[in-house]
Amino acid sequence: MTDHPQHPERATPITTEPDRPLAPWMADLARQVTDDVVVPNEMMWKRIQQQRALLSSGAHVTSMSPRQGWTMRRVAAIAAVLVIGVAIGRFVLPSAAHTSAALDVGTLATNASSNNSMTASGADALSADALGPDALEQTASSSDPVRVAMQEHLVRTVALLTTVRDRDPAAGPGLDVTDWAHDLLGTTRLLIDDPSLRDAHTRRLLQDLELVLMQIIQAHGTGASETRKAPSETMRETNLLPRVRAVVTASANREARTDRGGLE
Amino acid sequence: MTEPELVARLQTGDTAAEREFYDRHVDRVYRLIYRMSDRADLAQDWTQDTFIRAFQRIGQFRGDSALSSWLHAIAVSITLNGLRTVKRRDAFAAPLEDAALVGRWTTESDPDLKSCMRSAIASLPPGTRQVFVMHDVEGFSHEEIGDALGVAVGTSKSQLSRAREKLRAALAPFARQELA
Repeated sequence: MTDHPQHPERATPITTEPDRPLAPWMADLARQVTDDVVVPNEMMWKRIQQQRALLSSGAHVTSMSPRQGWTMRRVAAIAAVLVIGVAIGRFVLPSAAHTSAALDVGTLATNASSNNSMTASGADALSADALGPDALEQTASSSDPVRVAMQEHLVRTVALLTTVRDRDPAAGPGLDVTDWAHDLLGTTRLLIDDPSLRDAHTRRLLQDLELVLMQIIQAHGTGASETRKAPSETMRETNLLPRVRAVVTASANREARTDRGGLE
Repeated sequence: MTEPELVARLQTGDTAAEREFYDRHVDRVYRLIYRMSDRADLAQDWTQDTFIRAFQRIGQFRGDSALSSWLHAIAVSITLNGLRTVKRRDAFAAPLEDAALVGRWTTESDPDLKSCMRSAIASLPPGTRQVFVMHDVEGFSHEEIGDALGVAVGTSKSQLSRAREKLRAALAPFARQELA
């Protein structure tokens, strides 16, 4: 049993007044409210069979209605374009991309190390915690374009989150930051919907990132101080910046080790 | 077919047993998810997910609890995870739910008692509704709810108390009729 709420906002003051059960007729009524709901048994059974058949053939599926299916196909098409673009970029300009990424990542690794007093192995450990062993394994060794795209995306994200963190929360983000967040939000959503990034830890990281980016966009131009402070508070509550940094740093360390191994 | 026989056949991948298992439990699972989510489309999706996961994991079922309890635990887990995702997405698409809107109707505007109860439950804030449905409708203990929702037992009790108060307030006109 978890005695500690995982999120402060989920903690609710405990009432001290004695609780009374509902009157029997009310409790019975609550149990009966869905009695007349029509359960689409056959339709759901057919979908279950279809999905299990696809699963057994090795395809990845999630339950979806026809409308969701159309949306997912569109998202998949956009994601495919993104992935192909990244892949072409890597193969056409390998040396430039590598140098640029190494510079970016090296700088971030240094920052992360100095800011958080984090050693390389500590960063790896935190990254493992943030992404999970399976995902980390893939991140470490994979040249999968989606993984590469995610790493490059996270590098750009660190810069934005650092900017937001360092600004006065009460003032809210400026237009430049909001536009930046818009750009990153689109890619974040594509990554969330990518079937190869389905492990729970990666999804949680990307969903937390999505939430903060949406809050940054919402915070621009609003008069409500709570809305302006929301991105900073969510970043603090979800420990987002260190988590993203740790993933980036761990990737950089591994790339460096791989490069050294190649030279030796 | 007894439950142990059914489990044994499910564990061998018997298709007829899978259909039998589905037929026995689908109504309750669907209604549980429907009550917790208050959306038919989500109830369909998550009911499907529940059975797919159950079929995948039936090999791990050791019979420590009833098959229905095991299945319901899967359903609750899938529903809560799904609701978290929906909540994150909806939070910026619609105004936050106003708990004060609970039960603003009279017997004249809606004479159907069951319909009023349904609306009152649907109007509860999501966390409160989940605790109420799990405890008062599905019979989960506060410890089980705490485990499932990741909250303290005291929080679960507190949420239940709030839910009951709101439902009492919403159904007060009918309560007088019932007493009369």
